[in-house]
Amino acid sequence: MSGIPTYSLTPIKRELKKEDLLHLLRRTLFGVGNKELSFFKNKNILQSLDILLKQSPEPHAPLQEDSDVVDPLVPTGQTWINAPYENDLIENRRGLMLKMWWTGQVINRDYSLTEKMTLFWHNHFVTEMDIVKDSRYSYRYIAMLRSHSLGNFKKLIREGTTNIAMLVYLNGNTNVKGEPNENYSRELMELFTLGKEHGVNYTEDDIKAAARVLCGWKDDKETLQVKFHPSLHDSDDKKFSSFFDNHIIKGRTATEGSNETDELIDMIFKKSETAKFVCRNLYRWFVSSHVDENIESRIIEPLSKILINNNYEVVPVLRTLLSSEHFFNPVFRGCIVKNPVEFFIGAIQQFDVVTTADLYKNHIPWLQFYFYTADLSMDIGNPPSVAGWAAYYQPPKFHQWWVNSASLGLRTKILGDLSTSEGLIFNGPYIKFDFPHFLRQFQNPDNPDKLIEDCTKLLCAVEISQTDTRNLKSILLSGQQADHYWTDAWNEYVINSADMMTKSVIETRLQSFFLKLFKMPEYQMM
Amino acid sequence: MKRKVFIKNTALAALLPFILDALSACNSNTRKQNRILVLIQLVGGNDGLNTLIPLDNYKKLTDARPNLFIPENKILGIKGTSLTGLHPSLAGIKDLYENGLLGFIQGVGYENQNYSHFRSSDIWLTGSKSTEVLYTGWMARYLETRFKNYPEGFPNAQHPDPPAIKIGDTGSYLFQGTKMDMSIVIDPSTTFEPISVDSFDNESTGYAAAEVKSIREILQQTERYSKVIKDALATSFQHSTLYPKSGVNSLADQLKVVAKLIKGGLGTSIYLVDLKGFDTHSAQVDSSNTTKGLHADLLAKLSQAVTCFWDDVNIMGREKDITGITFSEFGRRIVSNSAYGTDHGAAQPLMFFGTNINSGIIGTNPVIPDKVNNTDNLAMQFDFKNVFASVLKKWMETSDDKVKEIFPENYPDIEIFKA
Repeated sequence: MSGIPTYSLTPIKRELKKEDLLHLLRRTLFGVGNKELSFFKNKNILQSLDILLKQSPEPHAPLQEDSDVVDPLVPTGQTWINAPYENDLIENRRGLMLKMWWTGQVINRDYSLTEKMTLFWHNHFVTEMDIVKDSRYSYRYIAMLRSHSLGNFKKLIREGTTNIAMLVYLNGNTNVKGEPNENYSRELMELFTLGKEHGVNYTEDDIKAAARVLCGWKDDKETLQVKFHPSLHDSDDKKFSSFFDNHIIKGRTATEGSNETDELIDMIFKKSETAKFVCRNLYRWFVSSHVDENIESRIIEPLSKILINNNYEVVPVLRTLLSSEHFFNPVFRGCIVKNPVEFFIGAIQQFDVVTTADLYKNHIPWLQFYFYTADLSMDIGNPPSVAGWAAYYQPPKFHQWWVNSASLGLRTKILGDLSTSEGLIFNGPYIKFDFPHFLRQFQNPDNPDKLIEDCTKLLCAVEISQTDTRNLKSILLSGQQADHYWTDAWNEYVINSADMMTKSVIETRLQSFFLKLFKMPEYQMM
Repeated sequence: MKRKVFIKNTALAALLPFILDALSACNSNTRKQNRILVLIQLVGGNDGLNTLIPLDNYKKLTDARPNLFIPENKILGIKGTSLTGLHPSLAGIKDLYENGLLGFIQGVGYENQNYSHFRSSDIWLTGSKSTEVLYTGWMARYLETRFKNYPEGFPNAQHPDPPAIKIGDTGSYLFQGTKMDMSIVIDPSTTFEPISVDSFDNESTGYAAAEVKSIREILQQTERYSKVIKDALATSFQHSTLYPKSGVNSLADQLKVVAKLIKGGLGTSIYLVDLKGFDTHSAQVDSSNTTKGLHADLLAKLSQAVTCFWDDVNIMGREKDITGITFSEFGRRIVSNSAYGTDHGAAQPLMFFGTNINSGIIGTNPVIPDKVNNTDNLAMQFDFKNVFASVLKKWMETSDDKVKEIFPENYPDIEIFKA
């Protein structure tokens, strides 16, 4: 056992070792290869975090792709985010374009937590495209998450409360005077801010009162704006329970009524439970799903104070957490199961790929990549429920919900398809892993022992067993005993890589080698 | 060269067609044909009042949900009672009922209703009280009485097949056992990929050690069961012609896989399938026609799926061995909201089907208060734990002592099954 976690948020004092850097990058980026390692190699933790915590520039809006459904109003290459809603079929294709665009942003991530945090907020502050059913709305929701990804939690919740997609998703747009719809106010408290455990005891009546506060917000499909309608607002006073110190939100008339929404958010954020709740979720996202009393009192509490003292800006919290002695304790290495985006997009980033498409510009593969991650049960844009993915809230398994008898087989199968000599073909371009090229980054790819060590240290967050090491070596040597069989084959390939025969000797062995690796539990971890 | 991207709604599923229809050598079925229970989870909270409609309370119902009630002349009457009718989407369910193959239990819920989807689902799946938190599924606790120390020593000659099958892309709390998930997950939208693994030593340390160990166990169990599953799926079976095309009705697709596995000789006795989308806060009904809308579509899918599945059961001649039961995390509020929807509620009716069941309606029509306000909910008549305890006892032939290990309260028998 590598020891009990140090419950200290003080910054790590020792120099970062390679393992520490790998740990930091695995948890903050999608996939770590040699490129990322060399970029961060000579930076200290503060310099690294300055880079990681810098918000990426806003991406270009999603574009109309060539499609089997022609959109008469939006030519290929133009964006549809402000175009009229036409019909369900066109809307369906826009939904796919939005999801492939989002996948493209993850592929294109720079060395910033922006994408990781956008996904975090999506999981925390959920809408589902299948329910919103208007991709122009969902684009606005995703853009909001991204713009606040390294911003202010309170502002995100305030803005999101009247976000156009959220109003549809949790029925805020039908929440009117005399007929309150409590769907949003319930989830606002239970899932977005306060949580329900740890002694949080707001009441059913609080939920109803909050719904009345929020009456009167409507979306407009024509202008794509959200407007407050005083005539639909309940202008009576709203009384809250002792949990909220019996606070009364004074009923207001005319456009003043919309200020009640601000007051409600202020009231909820006055409760320190709100800061603790989001810090606990951040902790589970970045460090470990295991939160005990010590973690609660010595890590979550102090983090929540930092959040409150910084007026709900998240960067100071992340900076503290991700530079802490606690975070770098080796006990946490590799203890999180990669989610499907981390797993699949991570693999695309880790390996050198050969393709006839430019992965960063050409959108063709993005759609396929999106389908892969959705098949592995992370359909971005469409979490399974308003609570997000079970991996981030459902004890005792937490992220083990990602792995089961169906998904583990499919994980191997998908990476296996990318490992074949033909690669995967999508409507023209193909893509495949270039393993021989990947090996050239290591110092001694001709030495099977060194190769296995370098490879598995980079790709697996958890050390693999001696048996697995032996088995991997046996693949490289085709069951022979002497190392030189591999060394000779590799050297011959280096000299004569154009020769199909020598290349295929190397390639077939590496395909089996990596297929075995992809299947290992250690490769599922980060 | 012109860039030609063709955006199509084709998931991986289309590229890797499910092997349902693959033919293989006949799989001789020599195993004991044990009893099978199929659980159908209606995810989101089903509106019982618009499913099994109380006609004796009809006036109060129309007052409570003026924008949502089903017109009286559209409600399907059921033979033998004038007090209760069915949603017009449930024609198939009505047929099964009138043929003595289906029944209902009114007012199923639990004390201290929790209105959170997640907590309430957890309560249903773990079989806990509202006030306690359990970390194992009630079904897993039952299975552990039959598969002692699972996964150690399984599969074996006596138990060659998985204890449970979950259809879908994720596992379920229902099957979370003391040591591991006791189900094998089969996703009908993708291929079932057999896994082979050859080494199982564990040298990792820290918190990762436990994680790696669990994944190894899943790999190991999947590998051990993958042959029986592949074989069962590869069995040739002329399914009922009533099934819709694949991709139209997700529940029918799932039940078709269940039928295939049973036909293929899998001896698994517990299956869990689901239908999602019952959280109908808005547009539960169309504003112009309350017999249409989200809920009508969902009930039509449920009715169609159960009908097709039961036809398959008949085709394979297993009607004496198979029974099914539906459940949802809660019912919905009595009073409708202005968005043509309903909010989270409490008690709900469950449906069960098979040849050994007592067709009929257990319990009484729900009571709607004279002056109903929008926080009123339907009263519970039966604790869901009582229902499942009766299922375990009568259908799964579990002894009283064992049932008490799973559901410790003393519950009277509910007469779901024929004596």
